[in-house]
Amino acid sequence: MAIGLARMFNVRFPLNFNSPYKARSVIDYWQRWHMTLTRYLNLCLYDPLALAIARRRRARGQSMRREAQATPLGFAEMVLLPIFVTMILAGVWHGSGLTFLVFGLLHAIYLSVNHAWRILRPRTAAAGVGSLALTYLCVLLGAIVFRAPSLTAAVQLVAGMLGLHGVTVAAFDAHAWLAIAWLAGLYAIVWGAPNTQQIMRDYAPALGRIQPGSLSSLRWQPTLRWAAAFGCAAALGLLSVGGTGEFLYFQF
Amino acid sequence: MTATRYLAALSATMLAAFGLVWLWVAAVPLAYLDPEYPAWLAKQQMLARCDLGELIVVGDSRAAVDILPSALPIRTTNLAVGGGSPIEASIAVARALACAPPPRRVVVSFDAAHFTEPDLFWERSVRFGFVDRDSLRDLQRVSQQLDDPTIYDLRRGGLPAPLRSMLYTLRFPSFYFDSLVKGGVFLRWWRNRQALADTIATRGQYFFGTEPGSSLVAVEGRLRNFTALPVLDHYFDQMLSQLAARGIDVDFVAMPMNDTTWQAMRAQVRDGFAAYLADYAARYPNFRVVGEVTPHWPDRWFGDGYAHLNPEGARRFSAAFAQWLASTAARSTAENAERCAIRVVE
Repeated sequence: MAIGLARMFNVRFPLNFNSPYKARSVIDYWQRWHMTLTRYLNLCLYDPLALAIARRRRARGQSMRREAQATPLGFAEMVLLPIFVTMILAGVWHGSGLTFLVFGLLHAIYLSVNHAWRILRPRTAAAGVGSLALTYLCVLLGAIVFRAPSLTAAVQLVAGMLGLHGVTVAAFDAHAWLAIAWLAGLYAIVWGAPNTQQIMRDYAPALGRIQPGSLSSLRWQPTLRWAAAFGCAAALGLLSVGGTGEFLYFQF
Repeated sequence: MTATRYLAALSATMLAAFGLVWLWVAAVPLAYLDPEYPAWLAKQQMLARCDLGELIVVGDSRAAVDILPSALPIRTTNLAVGGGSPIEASIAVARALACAPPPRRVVVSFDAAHFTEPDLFWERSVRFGFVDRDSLRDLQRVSQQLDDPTIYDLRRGGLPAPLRSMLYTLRFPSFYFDSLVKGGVFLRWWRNRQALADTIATRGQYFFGTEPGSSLVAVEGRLRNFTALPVLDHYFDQMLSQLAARGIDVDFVAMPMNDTTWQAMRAQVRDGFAAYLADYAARYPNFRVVGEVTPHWPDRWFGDGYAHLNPEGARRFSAAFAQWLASTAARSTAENAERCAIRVVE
């Protein structure tokens, strides 16, 4: 919305989200999710910290090469320290409360593991569906902590998802199938469709390089087909502004 | 394609899509609205057909659940609705009084919170079509007169209340979109049709939670004191005066709450509620308060966190209620109001 509104005034904003759920590693995720924040954290926190550590090591005559990062001390100093400091502050930046601190810590752990994997196993094959799924699961776990009202609630929710509160077979009625169809449709869009920036790529909607997306036919052009599609999208937008939710006494 | 033609095509598609959805929303609400809608529709249909019987019950969701007309000795229609307040009750009574013959007795039942705070007036009563345009105009007038916008202008900061009111009566589709999505556009049709038939068959009674007990604290547990909203008080008074003018007996029968809620309830709420009702009983000779104002039953008879009785609890309550009705049919209700209190039979 911000990008679109700015564009109406001939101002181009930088990209802020670039299909983060298509990320194939947590490092990739942070380069796609809240990109302006990542850039800010990198410039103002991570980079100065990493630079200071590098200078300190250099002054002590210690190596700064990749091999040095593979040693426990080198890894702790050159990777863990800047990542943990940055991510804890990034977590707290999102809000005050233990959940945000844990969110930051969790992502610091993810990123550390990701970096360790890169350092120790540099010649792995290109990341595939497994990497995407693993990244998504990690991010999902972080999102639970991020959105939960308390840490206890987050733990309860995760325990429930793991089946620790018991497992029952759901009744597969029409509504269950509807929910599954919704999920399938939404995941198909998330993982299969290009994002809005990619759809409008030919018209430079935002600052920064926009990578081509899947389904190259889904690139906006001033045609009747696109007018109809955007007309339907506009109708959906208008329909969804009512803000009248359902209140159900029922377990339905 | 020129920009003008593109924008024209976009606008035309948008209007057509919006119009089609509006048509669907207005024409077949049973296909997508949430599962309580058929119960409301059943009550509206019974009212429209004047298929009411001797006794009508008006009130909130507890009354809708707890009183089973099939268990009562006289033909009864349960017109109580989920989130119902004196506004909905007054509307239902006015419609019932237009029937020939009108009901001979009316049972009113609200918990304390339905006099003191708004519930789901717009989301339910208006959206489900129970409150029509004229009633909304009346509510607007009364709210302005009493300087109490609590219900009419519930959502301050949103649309102006008169505009929102008009859009609701026109079934503006944006207010129904959430149900449309959750209901899969048409997937609730069969279930809702069945629920409609079931509610007509049970003469307006329907269940909410059916758990074998609930120790959750219901709404009374968090009330700090009892002060009736002027607008709700107005409609309660209006309903009683309408019934008094027609010489129809009105009994206020409080539905039980679970013990846990009763323990959490403050004494000033209990006392304030009792005093409020006693004041009405003194003003209207046809209005009696039957038994305790805040009766409480063991938690095991409740099916959810809103103190709705579970099926077994409702059967027990209705059996006791039927006994009381049978006894009052023979004797003066004034005597019995003091003599008979509806209590759980352990």
